[in-house]
Amino acid sequence: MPEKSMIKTEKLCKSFSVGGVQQHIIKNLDLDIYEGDFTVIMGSSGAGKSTLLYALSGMDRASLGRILFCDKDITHFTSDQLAIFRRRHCGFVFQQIHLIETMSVMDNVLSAGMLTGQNKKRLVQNAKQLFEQVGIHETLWRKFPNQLSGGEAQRAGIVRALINSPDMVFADEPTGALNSASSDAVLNVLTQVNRSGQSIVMVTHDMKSARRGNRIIYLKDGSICGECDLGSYVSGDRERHEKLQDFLHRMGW
Amino acid sequence: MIIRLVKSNIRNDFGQIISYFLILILSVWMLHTGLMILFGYGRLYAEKQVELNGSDLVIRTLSDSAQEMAQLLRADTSIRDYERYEIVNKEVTYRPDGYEEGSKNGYAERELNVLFEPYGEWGEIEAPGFVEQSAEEYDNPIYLSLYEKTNLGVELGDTFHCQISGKEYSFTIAGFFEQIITGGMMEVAFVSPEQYNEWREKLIKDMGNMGDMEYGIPYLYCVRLAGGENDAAAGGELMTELGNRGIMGYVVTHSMTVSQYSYMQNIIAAILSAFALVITGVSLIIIYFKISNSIEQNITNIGALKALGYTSAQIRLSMVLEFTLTAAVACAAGVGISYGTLPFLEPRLRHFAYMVWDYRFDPTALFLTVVLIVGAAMLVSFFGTKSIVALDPVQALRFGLRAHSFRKNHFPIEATGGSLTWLLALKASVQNRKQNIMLVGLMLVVGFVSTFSVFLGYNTIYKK
Repeated sequence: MPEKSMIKTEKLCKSFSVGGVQQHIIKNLDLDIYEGDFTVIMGSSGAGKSTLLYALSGMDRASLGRILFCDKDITHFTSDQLAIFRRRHCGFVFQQIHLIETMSVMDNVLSAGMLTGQNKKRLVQNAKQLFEQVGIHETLWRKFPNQLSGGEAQRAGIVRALINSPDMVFADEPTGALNSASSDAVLNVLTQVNRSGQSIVMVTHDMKSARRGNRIIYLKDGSICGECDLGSYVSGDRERHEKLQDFLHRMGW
Repeated sequence: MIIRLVKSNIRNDFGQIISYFLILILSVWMLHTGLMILFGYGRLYAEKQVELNGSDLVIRTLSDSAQEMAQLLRADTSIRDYERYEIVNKEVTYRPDGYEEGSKNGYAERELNVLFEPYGEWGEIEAPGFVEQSAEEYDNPIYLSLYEKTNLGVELGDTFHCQISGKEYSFTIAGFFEQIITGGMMEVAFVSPEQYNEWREKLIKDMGNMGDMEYGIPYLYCVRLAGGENDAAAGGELMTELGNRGIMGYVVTHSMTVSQYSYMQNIIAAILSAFALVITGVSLIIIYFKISNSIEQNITNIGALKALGYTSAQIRLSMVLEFTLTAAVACAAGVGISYGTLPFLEPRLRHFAYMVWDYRFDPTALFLTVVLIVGAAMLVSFFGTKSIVALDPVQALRFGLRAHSFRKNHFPIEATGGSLTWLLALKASVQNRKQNIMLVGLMLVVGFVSTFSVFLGYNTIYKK
């Protein structure tokens, strides 16, 4: 059965003006992101990975081209339309986590969930299930973000991203600020949610994180340099790991 | 969910919210109290005139003029009704308790020009309204106006030592009354009919056989004007008529008396209200800059909220509500304190009003206070948050720290003398100079206003 395209870009371009000079970050990019995939976007620093991620998610507007998300052309949405679109269809996991420091972990999740007008009781129930799923104990639900470890906070960030059952989770270097053990815990959670059907697009420059994806897209100078289909993640699959290494080597990583 | 954001904002800014809250309470107390005094005393005299059946004007005659006065008043179509009271005018040398020859200040003797009337012999118009009256019966009672009570600093039951026409008297103060015209600077007092008649007979005897026994006995004509008549105009016309008819006397009008009585209250109300507006204005300026600062410092949070799907309007609303709710709660507290302090303030204001002010809930004062304070907070926070609209979420998330641009290294440690603690403090002061200048400005204003208010209050209300 052909995979369903959730996000499609047509000749996507993104430019910034820096000191009066136009910098073309994304250049004429045609891309499909498929439902159920764990898509990883890699590339060297400045390749346009995060720029692409934010354009795909409606956080940033394209300079040229088209973006179709769930068959909706979001290219010319206003800021408020994009905000409303994001709350219904997207979940975000940030490198710096960005939980609101003056809200408890539960409140951080509910403040995202209540945006879509869901029933509060059901929302709290969902949040509790998700917390358990990602391994955050009940004793931490009412704590503030600064009282959690980095890994716990990032897992809470994942719960916040999932609370509205988004069509797509966008993760921007989710393990970038974490130590090895915390990174593994976060990656395990992402793998787990992907296995339960959640579509994920993740930007990373870390091979350990990249291994979790089933589809790798390599960006160079704002264009897709290559793609690699790794199949489903299996822990300890040496062949899969070598395939990825080989691909990245060919890409010049 | 906006309420969660509001709570989060308050938690984030808690210290500053508390400062803002306390300053606003002071401001609300001043503004509401000022407005209460302005409106309350503005209505007081009109209400008292109805309650006490006061005159629109009082004519005091000094000469034999009963018939001419009767003709004059009957002919004047602007006059609805009048009553005539006989009075005995005495120069009274009041000697307070503790007086000795050569005493000064509060113990010095006072010269009063008192119009005595017999107790109990009054009609409908301009009758005394007693606010304090002793249940005891005294041998030689005297009943004074509230004006005299505050003027002389006496209380019920005190002995009123005085010298009248070379003779020493000791009355006991048996009551205090209020009335607008005769209860004020006209210095009317009531004594027992026996005492009154004694003076009256002596006065007549001293006048000798002058024909008409009313000659030399002055009268008060307490006049009610016909509806819609202006008392100042009517009083002016009556004075002219008195002169034309050769009648010695003068006219005191209700409006003339009220404007004298309410002079100090209006000043106090104006000062309180002006200070309140100054403090509120300064605190709103601070809030405006505080919001700008807060947006800068929490730029990544705002970016995260926008990423989650919060619209600019929702984020702005949470900040506007933060300050508006604080202002609303401060209003409630400040208005409560205003009503709570009125029992202490009113007796002091009575020094100027010569009337008991039966203050009550004033919806106009409350409405104006709430609209000004809460409305201003809402407006200022609305305009202060407008930069949120243009904030790009990606920029905010990525470049949050770059919102601060530090260009100059003030007091470089390598080149500036002094201890490390001192240098770090100086550097922090300069980096936060905007806030520090505002803080200094606010403290100066609040300090000035508070000091001025204390001195003003002490000198006008407490100090005799």
